[in-house]
Amino acid sequence: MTLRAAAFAIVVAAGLWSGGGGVAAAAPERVVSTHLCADVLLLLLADRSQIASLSYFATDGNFTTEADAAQGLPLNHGLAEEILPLAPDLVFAGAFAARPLSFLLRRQNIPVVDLPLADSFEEIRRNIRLVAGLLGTEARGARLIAAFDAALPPAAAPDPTPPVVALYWSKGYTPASASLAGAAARHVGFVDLGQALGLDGAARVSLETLLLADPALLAKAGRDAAALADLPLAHPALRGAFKGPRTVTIPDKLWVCGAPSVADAAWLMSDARKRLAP
Amino acid sequence: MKPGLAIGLGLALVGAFLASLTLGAASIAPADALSALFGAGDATLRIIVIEVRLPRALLALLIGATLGLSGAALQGLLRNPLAEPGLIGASAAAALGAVLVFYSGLAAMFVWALPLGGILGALAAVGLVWLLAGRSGDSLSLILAGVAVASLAGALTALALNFAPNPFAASEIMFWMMGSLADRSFEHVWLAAPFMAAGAWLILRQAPALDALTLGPDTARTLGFDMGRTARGIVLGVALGVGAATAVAGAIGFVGLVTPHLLRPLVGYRPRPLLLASALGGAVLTLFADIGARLAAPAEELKLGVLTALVGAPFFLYLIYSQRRNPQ
Repeated sequence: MTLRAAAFAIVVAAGLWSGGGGVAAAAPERVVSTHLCADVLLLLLADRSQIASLSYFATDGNFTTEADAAQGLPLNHGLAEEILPLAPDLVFAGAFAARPLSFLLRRQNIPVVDLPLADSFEEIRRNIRLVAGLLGTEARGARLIAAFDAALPPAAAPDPTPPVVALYWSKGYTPASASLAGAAARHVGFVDLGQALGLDGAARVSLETLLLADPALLAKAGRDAAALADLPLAHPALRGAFKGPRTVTIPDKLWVCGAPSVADAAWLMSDARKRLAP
Repeated sequence: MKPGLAIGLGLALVGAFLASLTLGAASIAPADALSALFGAGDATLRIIVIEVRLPRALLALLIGATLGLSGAALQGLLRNPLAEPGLIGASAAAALGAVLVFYSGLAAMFVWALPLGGILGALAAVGLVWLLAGRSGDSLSLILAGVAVASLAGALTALALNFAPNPFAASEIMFWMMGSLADRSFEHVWLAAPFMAAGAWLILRQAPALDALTLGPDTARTLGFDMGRTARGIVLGVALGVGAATAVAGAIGFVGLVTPHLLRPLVGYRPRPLLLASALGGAVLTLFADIGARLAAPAEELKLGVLTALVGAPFFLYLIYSQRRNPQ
C-alpha cells in the first residue's frame, strides 16, 4: 500500500469510526455536502431524497456540469449553523475544507467523510466507489464507472517525443503534472508544460515564459464571469502566437472535480491533437 | 524648464523606456529585444517584445506622466503641498468606478465603460473634495476630506468585489488598491491613452493661471484669470487622466506626491515648468517601479503601488516633518 493510499484509508476509517459504526449498516437518509466535488458525486450517485444540502457552488454552471441537477436543492456555505439543524447522518467535506466545521460535527457524533482529491483516472473511480459505498448505491457506482471508462477517448499510442500542451489557467497558472488535467493530457498523448519546463507542482507561468516555451497546443481555461485573473488568458499576444488549431478552450467545470466529465475534457484535447498538423 | 533639466529628464525617460523593453521574465539579449521591436528576429521574440513588453512600457510612461502632472496641478491649484490624486481619494474612487463596471460584466459588453467608470469615480471624488475643502486652501480639511473619500471608496470596492460573481474577484482587491501592469496589452493602451491625453491638454491649458495663482487668488483675478474656470479645468483634467489610468492599472499612490516635490527646486518653484517636468519625472519613476515589480519577484509579481509607496511614504513623512519645523 502506498503512503497516499494508507493516509486515505485512515481518513475514511476516521470518518466511519466517528459515526459510531452505524453508517455502514443502513443507507444514510440526510446527506450533506460542503464541497463542490462531493456535490457532483452526490448528484450522480445518491437518490435525490437522500440529499439534505449541497455546497453553494453546486448550482454555479461555471464550475460544475451538474448545476441543473442541483437546482431546487437546499444549499449551504459550510457553516455549522446551517448544517446542524439539518440533523445530517453523513457529511462530505473536502480534503482541504473547513477543518473547524469537521471537528465540530464530529463532536456531535455526525460522521464526516473527507473526500480525497482525485489526481488520476483511477482516483476518480476510487472516489465514485467510496461515495457509492457510503450511500448504499454500489450498483449505480459500478454503472457510472463503466460509463466513464466507455466515454474516455482511446489512449494514445506511445510517442517518444510527445507534443507539449500548455494547460493555462486563471492568473497564468499551469497545473501540476499529477492532476486530472495532466492525466487527461498524458492519456491523449501530450506532455504537459509543467513537465516540459521541469516545474514542481502547480506553478505560475508568465506570458513571456509561455511564449518562449512555444508549446504545440495552448489549452486555456474557459469561464464566463469577469475577473482580472483571466487577463493573461485574454492577452492578444497569445492569439498572435497560437493561431487557429493551436488553441483550444476547455471549460473549467469539466475537470475541476474527479467525475466522469473529465472524459469530455479528454476528448476536447484528443480532437485538438488530431487537428494539429502532423 | 531649463534646458539642462529637460535634457536630463528626457535621457532618463529614454533609458527607462529601453530598460523596460529589454528586461522581463524571458531572458532576451537587449540587442535582440531592440531589433525585434523593429521587426527583426523570430516571430516569438517579436510577439514578446511588441505585444507583451511594449504596451506595458507605454502604459507605465503614460500613467506615470498622468500622475506626475495631476499631482503638480493639484498642488498648484489647492496651494497645498500634500495634494495628489491618491491622497485626495481620486485614485480610490476611480478604482471603485472601474470595479463596478468590470465585475458586473458591463465592460465586456461595452469596452469604453471601463475608462468611463474610472473617470466618473475620480470626478466624483475630486469634485467632492474641491467643494468640501478646496476653496479654503486649508491643508487639514483637504487631507481629512481626502482620507474620508478614499476610505469610503476602498470599503465600497471591497464590498463590490465580495459580491462579484467570479470567485477570484475577492482576492483582486490587492490589484485595485496597489496597482499593477502585469499582462496588460495594447487594448488597455487604446482604452486609456485618449482620455489621459485629453486630461493633460485640459491641465496644461491652465498653466498660466497656476503661475498667477502663486501670487494669491485675488491677484490672479485682477490679472484677468477666471479662477472658477481654472479649477473646473484642472478637476476635469485630473479626473479624465487619473480615472482612465486607474481603470487599466489600479490605484498607484505617491507618484503624484513625490515627483513635484523632487522637481520643484529644480524649476525655480514655478508651477508652469513644474507641470511638464513632473509629467516626465512621473513617467521615469513609474517605468522604474514597474521594472522593479517584475524583476523583484518574477513568479508572483509585486504590485506597482508597493514599490511607489516604499519610496513615497517615507518621503511623505519627511515632508510633514520638515513642514512642522518650518511653517510657511
